[in-house]
Amino acid sequence: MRRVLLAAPLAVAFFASPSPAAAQPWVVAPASDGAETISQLFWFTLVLATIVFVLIEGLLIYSSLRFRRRAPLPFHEPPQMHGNTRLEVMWATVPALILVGLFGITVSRMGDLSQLPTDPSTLHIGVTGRQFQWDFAYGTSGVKSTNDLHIPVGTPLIFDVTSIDVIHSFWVPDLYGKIDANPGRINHITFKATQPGTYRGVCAELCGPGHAGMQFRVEAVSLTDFQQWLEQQQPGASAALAAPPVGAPAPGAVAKPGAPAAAPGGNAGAGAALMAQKGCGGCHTVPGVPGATGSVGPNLAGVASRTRIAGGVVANNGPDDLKKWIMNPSALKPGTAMPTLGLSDDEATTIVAFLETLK
Amino acid sequence: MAITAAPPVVASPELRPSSHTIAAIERRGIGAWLTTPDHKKIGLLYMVSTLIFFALGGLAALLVRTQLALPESPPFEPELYNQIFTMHATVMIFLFIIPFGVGGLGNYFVPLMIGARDMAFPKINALSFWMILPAGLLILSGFFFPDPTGKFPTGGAEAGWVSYPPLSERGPFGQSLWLVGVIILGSSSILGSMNFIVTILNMRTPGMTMHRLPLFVWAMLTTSVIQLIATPALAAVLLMVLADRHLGTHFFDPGGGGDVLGYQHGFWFYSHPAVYIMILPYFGIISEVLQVFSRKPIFGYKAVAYSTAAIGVMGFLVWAHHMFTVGLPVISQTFFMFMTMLIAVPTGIKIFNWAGTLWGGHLQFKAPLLFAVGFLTMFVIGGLSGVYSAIVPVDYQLHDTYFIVGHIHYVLFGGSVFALFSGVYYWFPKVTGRLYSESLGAWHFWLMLIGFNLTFFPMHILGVMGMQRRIATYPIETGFLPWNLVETAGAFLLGFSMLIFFWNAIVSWARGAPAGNDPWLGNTLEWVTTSPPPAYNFTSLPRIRSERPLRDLRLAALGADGLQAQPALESGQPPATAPH
Repeated sequence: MRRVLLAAPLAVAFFASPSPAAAQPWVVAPASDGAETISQLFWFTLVLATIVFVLIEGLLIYSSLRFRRRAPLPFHEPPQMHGNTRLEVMWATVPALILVGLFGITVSRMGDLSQLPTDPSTLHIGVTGRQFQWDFAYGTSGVKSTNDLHIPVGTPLIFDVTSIDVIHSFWVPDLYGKIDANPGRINHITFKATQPGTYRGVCAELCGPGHAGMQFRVEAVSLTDFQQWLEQQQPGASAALAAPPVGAPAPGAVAKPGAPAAAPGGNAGAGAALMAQKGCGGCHTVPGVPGATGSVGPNLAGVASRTRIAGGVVANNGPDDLKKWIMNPSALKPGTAMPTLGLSDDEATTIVAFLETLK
Repeated sequence: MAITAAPPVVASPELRPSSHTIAAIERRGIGAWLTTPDHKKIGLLYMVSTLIFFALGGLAALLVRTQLALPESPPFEPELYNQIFTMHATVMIFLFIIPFGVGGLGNYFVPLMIGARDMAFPKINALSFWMILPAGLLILSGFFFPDPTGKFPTGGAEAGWVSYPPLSERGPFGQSLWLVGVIILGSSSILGSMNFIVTILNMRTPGMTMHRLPLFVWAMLTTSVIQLIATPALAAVLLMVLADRHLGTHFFDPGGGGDVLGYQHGFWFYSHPAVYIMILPYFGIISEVLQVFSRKPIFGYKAVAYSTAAIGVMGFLVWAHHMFTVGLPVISQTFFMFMTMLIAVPTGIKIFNWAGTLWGGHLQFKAPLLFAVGFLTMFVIGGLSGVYSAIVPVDYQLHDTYFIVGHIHYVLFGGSVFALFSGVYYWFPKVTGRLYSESLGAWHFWLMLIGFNLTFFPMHILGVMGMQRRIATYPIETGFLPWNLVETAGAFLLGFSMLIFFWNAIVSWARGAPAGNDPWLGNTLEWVTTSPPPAYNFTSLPRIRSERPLRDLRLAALGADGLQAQPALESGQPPATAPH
């Protein structure tokens, strides 16, 4: 029923703007050196395949039209050609030569792609997939993030990819090809982002009911911005360094347990206290909530300004969306690790009032 | 006219052999079908039951397309959706494309084409079929077992048709039923392939040398050898998963020292050759149909036969191209890329030889030729899209996206299924004794061609845009919506074209005009006997002097009667027999 109701607005969207976000896929606008190489190979193959396609389809369609007989005499036969050795040799060797050429070109590029950089500035990012989220660890900094990957532009990156349960596949189409996250094994890919921007990352290997929802967001920023972000995220530093919630009149008004009612932010302060009470900090790092330094779930700094949450599965266009999410997460993202806390409607409203201050 | 008169062929009831075994085969009624060792009845059982599975798999496909038509808030929960597409692929591959081609058409026509009375081991043949049906029901019965979370009423296999562990080791109970079912299907395949190899090597009628073997039989021989060698690998890894699930072993569980990639190597060691099991019998059909409907011999008989065998051998050396993203060393990726490109060469040779067969022919566009040319044009697209994913770095991007889903459907639907319908229309008069409606056949073809391309071509675009496969839904911002909507519309058109086929087949079988022995002026021995053939197949057989014995017979008859219409009048050459 919901589908039917959705159909009308979607049909409008369909004709108004065919592809809003994905107007420039990786083949057109690769955002890393590796994606650029792959894109070149893709276009080269496309040109070659198109030539072969036109020749063979042309031959087939021409012969079908040219030699069509509406009512052939039953005992009339065309010349009985049994074959032609010269032609056989030709159509065995010419495609073989084309393919050997394609093979050579590809092998020459594969070396560059698989060569792990030795540059001292190289950043190692640990990627761990699990049902159904992505955990990222940044070099030796001790900083971790979930479903949000931050990378510096222009720095060589090595991703060490693994999984702790079933097989997943780590894929950011605009930045590079996919690599499987196998439990018990670590795979490496390397690339250097060339374009700052926000990119869509997904899991590309069926991993259970939450497979489609196992998405993440990649923020590619300048090296200085990245380092600044990294410092803010240092364990222990998050509460101190994070900006106070916007909307709170003074730093002193940041919610403290036991003093929610005194906070001028109204029930925003009560929300922070409630989050501390409900143990949200066990999994999440939450600026303004003391002791909330968990790294199992996403860091909630800036959650109110994200247009999508839960790895991009759930739309976040205001307090109502956020409230729906925290009241019953698994209804919106099947298989999510976020538990249903059994919040009452009022409790959820209070918490969302606080979350909405985390711009 | 240097044609020696061949013995005339008469298939009259008076000449019927009267052995008691034949009397047993001639029994009627349901018991006769349940106990028959007759290759034609078994073949027909295979064809009818696998067509029912085809309809079920098609319904599952329509549910998949309904799910993905619009982004977000899809009709099915992801658990159920995963079960639906797992069943779609399993049913289409293991219960339709493979058993219809090998078990159905192979059983019915291999003995007829080589002039034999039956398969070498008729009872093993019956056993092969009677393993298919229970295995199919076992696989589907997963839907009736409860889901472990208790959220949904069904607990069918939900790990995709590849069923990679560890996911497949955690799935609901239906996954175990799936594993057992597929192992039984594999055993049936092994039995069947032994039967075909023995039959083809030993039971050819005198004069039918390997170079006079119909190309369909060549294809069946190669397919059977592949099946015999590859299927045990599948059975082995599936048994290991079953053991991991129920016996506490850790073959594929890294926690217990197992390795998840071991399964993938074993699975693809079977499943890549299986792609050739799924396509070679249908290649064989194309080789037969093109000759008959162009009134020409196959262009390059030996090139076609040997390229089939070459594909069979090389097919064992390309399996890891399904695993370019699992983290293989560059050197093995390079090897498998090279072999994958190499195997395109014999496939290309076949395409060119088929085009050479069309060239200069007298093409009669009846349904079999329509579907055969449809096969050629669509399969070329499937072959070319395969080249993209053979290029290792490009495959990093395309692997596990809708590009691959598009590719596999251009190979298995644009290839196998188009050729399958070519064969079904070609042999319909022989099996049923009646002619089908040509106009409905043409409607079926054109609607299927349009529906097929609308459904599967946009998948290539979606794959490049970044739509990963096996997702239950997608966010609207991705821009995947328009192409998915087109695909769903195409899928329903495709489904509608199948209704035309089923209608045509059922009505024509009941009320079609009598076909006679040889409505197409065929080349091969099945056309020498009555339609449908009697239980003992032949009363007498012509001498085999070429790969087209029936054409030799017709020419001989013309020569004997001194008719005016000379076979090769237009070419100005004497109507030579084949040079083999």
